[in-house]
Amino acid sequence: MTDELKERLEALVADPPPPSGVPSQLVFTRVRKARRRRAAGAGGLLAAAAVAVVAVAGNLNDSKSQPPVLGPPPTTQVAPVEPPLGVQLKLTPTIKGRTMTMAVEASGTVLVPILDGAYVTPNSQGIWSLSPGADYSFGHGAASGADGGPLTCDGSKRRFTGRSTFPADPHTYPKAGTYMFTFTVRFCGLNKPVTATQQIVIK
Amino acid sequence: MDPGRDQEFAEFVDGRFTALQRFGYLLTGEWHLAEDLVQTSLTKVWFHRNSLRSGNALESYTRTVMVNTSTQWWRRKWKGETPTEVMPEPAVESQYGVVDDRDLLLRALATLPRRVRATLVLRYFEDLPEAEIAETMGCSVGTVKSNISRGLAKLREHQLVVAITAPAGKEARS
Repeated sequence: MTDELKERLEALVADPPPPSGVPSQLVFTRVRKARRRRAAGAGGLLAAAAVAVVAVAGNLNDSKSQPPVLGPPPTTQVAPVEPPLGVQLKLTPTIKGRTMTMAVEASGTVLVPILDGAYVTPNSQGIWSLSPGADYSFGHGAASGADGGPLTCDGSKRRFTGRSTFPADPHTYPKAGTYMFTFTVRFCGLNKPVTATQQIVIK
Repeated sequence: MDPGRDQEFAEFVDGRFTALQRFGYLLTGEWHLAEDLVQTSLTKVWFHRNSLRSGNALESYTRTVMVNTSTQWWRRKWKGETPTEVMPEPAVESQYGVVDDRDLLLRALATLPRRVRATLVLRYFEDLPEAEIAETMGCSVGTVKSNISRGLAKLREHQLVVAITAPAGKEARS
């Protein structure tokens, strides 16, 4: 059986198109571009550090330095209050015939997961792009899910607050009836997965 | 750049590009994405090439980076694709049977979670033993076994794949 699966997979990739150029040249072009970007990033950091030093030096106002003529008065720094960790889910089903599409809205604050040693950058999917995974069942045995990949929550301290909607797989129920849709999602910083349920009536 | 190491790296890229492109196709389902995935991954690998000793380590590490990168891409889209539970049309006998079969298998693979799909490809296409898959994926052997089991179970839901993944005795193990 597994031999046949292997044969099918090999047949699937039997006729790859030719690469768009000499592979090594294409890769080295990207390497040079990445090196330039990294160098530019390091240069930018140095420039920012230099500007910061100049700005601080120009605003010294202790007993031995000249007070700034137009500088702002010293203010007491108040530590910003961080929003508490937690996520709320809102399920909104759309039913056409026997096909149901569930829109799942998540809102709240989570810790940003880490991938390959760096914090993950939230994308257009907002808070959903920070989830290590989700599972959902349609209430009659069929289930699906989403795998966020090799993300880790260990050592994360950065918080992200947001609200965005995730469209779950459209699902066609085999027959009319009342079903319970259950959605469970995991986020970093929460003690347990967040679960929401919604009753679905198929006529 | 170190010319000697770069020459070695270039030989690896030119020699293994097509094989990696095939692996990338099974991870992404599209040839142009597969080429982009290979180039992106090899660019990442180039920055770590000095810590990799042999050609085997280079290829193994490249596969790891490809799996992680494709998962990252997918996570960015976060279900931009909308695979369905039930295939919309049944497979039929036709003169284009081979193409139909390929398409159905590809669509069946697209319904799998990315890391489950990568595990199946590493196991049944690359023929890697479970321990090596675990190393490549950065997970335990138990997780690999569970992913294989979940992946095959999911493929069995599709008509064509029923025949080739029907449980016929004990699974071949490494």
